[in-house]
Amino acid sequence: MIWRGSLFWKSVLLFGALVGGASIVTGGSEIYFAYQENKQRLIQLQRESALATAATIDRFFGDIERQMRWVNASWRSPDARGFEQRYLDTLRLLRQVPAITDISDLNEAGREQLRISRLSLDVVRSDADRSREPVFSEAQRNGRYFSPVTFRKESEPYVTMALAGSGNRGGVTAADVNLKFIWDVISQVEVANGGRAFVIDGNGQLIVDPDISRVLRRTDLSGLEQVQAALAPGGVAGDRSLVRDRDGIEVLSAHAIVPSTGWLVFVESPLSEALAPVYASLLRTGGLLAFGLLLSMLACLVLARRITDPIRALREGAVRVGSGDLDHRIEVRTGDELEALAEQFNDMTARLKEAQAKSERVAMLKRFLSPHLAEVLVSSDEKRILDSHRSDVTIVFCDLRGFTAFSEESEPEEIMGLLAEYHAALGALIHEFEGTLERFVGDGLMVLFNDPLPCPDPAARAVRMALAMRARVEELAQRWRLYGYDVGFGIGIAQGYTTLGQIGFEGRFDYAAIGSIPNLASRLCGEAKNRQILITQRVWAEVEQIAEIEPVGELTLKGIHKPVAAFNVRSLKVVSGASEQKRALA
Amino acid sequence: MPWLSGPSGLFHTAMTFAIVALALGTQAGKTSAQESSRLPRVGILSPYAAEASSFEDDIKGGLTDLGYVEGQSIEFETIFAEGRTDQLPALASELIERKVDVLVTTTAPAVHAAKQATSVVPIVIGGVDDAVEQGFVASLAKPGGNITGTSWLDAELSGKRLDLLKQALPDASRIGVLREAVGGGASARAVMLAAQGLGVQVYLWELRAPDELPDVFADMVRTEVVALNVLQSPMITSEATRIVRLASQNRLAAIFPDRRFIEAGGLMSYGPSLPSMYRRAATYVDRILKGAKPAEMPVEQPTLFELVVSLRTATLQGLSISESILVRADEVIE
Repeated sequence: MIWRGSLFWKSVLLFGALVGGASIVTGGSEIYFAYQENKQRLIQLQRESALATAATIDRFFGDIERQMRWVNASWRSPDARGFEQRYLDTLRLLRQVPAITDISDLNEAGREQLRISRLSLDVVRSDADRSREPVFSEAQRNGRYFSPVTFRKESEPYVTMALAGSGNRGGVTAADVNLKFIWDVISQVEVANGGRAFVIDGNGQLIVDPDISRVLRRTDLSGLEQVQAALAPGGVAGDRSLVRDRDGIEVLSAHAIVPSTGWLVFVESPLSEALAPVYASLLRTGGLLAFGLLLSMLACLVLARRITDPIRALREGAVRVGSGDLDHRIEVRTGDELEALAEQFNDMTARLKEAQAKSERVAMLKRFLSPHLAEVLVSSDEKRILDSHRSDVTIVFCDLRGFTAFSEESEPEEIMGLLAEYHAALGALIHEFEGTLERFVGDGLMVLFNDPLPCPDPAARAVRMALAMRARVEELAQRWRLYGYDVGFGIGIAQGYTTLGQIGFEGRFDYAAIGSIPNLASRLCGEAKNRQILITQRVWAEVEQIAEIEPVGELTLKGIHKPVAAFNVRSLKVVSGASEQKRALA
Repeated sequence: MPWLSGPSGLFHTAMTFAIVALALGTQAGKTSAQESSRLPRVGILSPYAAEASSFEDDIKGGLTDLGYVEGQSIEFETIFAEGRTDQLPALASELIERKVDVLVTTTAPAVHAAKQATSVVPIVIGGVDDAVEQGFVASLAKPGGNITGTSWLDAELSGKRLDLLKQALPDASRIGVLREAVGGGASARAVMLAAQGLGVQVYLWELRAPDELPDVFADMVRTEVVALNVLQSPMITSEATRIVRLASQNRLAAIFPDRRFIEAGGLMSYGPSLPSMYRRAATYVDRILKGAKPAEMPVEQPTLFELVVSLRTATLQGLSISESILVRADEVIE
């Protein structure tokens, strides 16, 4: 599957996803573990707090118990004096323990001897039979008894603590304790994060709470999950961590049992506040994450731009170059592989342009030179050849005799056919001897040697070529005669410094040789009879070693002041005793 | 810069949006926190004269302890009835007209007056003998109306006072009861009931106006009562000094509802600490100002009761107090 889309957005999204993903994973796991740790720690703290509070409540009752036992122990004798003592001691107890609202004193038979109250009338020696009340029976059996919590006037929570007497006296002392006095204990419990501690009895009734109204209002918490779990048999050990309190707020809840009374102390703190540091951390991490993502996105944008801009430049460059603008250069300055690529592209374009220019030159040169020569010349890369310059060249002029008469009398197709053969033959020879065809007009040709392609023996080559041409045309002429065409062939060769270069006008330039030497060669050609190759003295000097040459005297040529000494080339010299063949050729 | 154009432009827009939204959000948060500048107004209806009771001071003191500053975070409108129980309805109405947010008062007649004046404005009781019996609340746990506060079990306490008086003076067999002629008389009935259990003879005198005091006491002397149980009421508290003096002059051993009477020279007092009850009432005011509903605020009863005995007065009157009472007393004034 190929994901089609801009490289820019691909890299932005990919990079962003990577960074974002990594951040989310690390941040998320950090937060999760911090949350768990925090939660556990808080529950532990709360549990300890609950245990401490339970212990304090135990101490509260323990203090009362201690004072009650002291009064118990003060009982000396069952007579009136003892009773009086007992009575006063009990009054002292009442004064010393504001939490006690009523004290009852039952003898070993369960009969009430004393009943002292802050609110109701005192009753002395009523002897009322209270032996069947749990206050008496349970206390006698277990030594100490806590009654269930009752609400006086449907509002005030009370518990009765009964102690069995010890020592030389049986009987039971029972004190009604107002549980509002435990409020001090509870309100001093500090729970972190806005939590609270409260106490419930075995039925799930709220009996002590920092907000005393809740107790007076008779709040039943037995419906709460954590209460049910704690009240279930064997459920004391477990703490419920995430539950809802009576207001429906999610809290962390821990509890402990009050050993003496069997009540449950709960310490709860709202989850939101307990986890406030976690949320703060979450916010921080979230903020950092967002910031980091933003940064990475920005970085990504910048980076992606830095990659896609050069690539776009390359693409546009390729398009422009492809459509012909070979002057366009791609600008990429990134100092990396893309810049190198752009450089290479520019190199290529430059070379393309060069090659194009070259091929233009080649195309032009190919008109004058043999293709091979043109390639060679061009590859030597000299534009200069087309500029005007002087060279010592050998110039060969040649044309057909009797061609004009022939062309007057013949059909155009015949003329063209003959010319085609003629040109083909001569062209091949020019190519063979590496001469340069300067121009041709009809049947006349002008060939250069030593320019534009330098060679060491231009005159010799010219002469050899001329001889070969003569022979070839001779062959052709024999065939032409069969058709009734009667033409001859003559050549003129001159050598000397000549001016060469481009002449012409826009769209039609030619490479030309201008001066006296071409003139000379041309006039010599005009003077040459069929089968004559007329050369100047200069040429003769160059080739007299290799060719059989005869002088033809001084010729007066049109356009040239002085008469010119001319010579005719008969044939090539044969090396050692092939003179017969030489003669045969002549 | 080349990267400002194209896709980056989108980013810039998003960032700008975020910044603007953030700025607006904080601004909105700030403005919503500023609430209306009207201060909460607490109406105090004191049935007493200003110097006769610590009611006003304790209510204001309690609120100060809770962090309120008069003039900055709270306003007070205080009216003193100076013991004129018949004026209470008019005074309560006036407080309501002053547009108080909550009305604090004490004693049953004053609460009745307040109840008549409004059924909407929350009424906090600084102390009343029996809120249920008087009809101010449906129950102590759930008042259900616009009235809540502290209740001091005066009926029970009145009976207990008789008990203590009898214990202090075991030989007293003829005891008088002094009350204001107002209200349902529940305390008086409780005293009568207690008297039966204690085996004493009680005689009841009802006061309609402070001027009747000399005559009432003269009558008491004629009836040969030796001790007096004085019941709580606005008029009686306002006339504390006078009543104490008359009791002392007529050699009547009297037990009073609260320690102010002892400070005025009385013999015995038994009851809850009124200042602490008033301060508990202040917490009710605080909670109501913060939005709590009186109907759901349970009535509190006192937890601490003081038995104060003045041996000085006893000596002056030539009385000897029993040992059991002295042992039991929370405070003995020499």
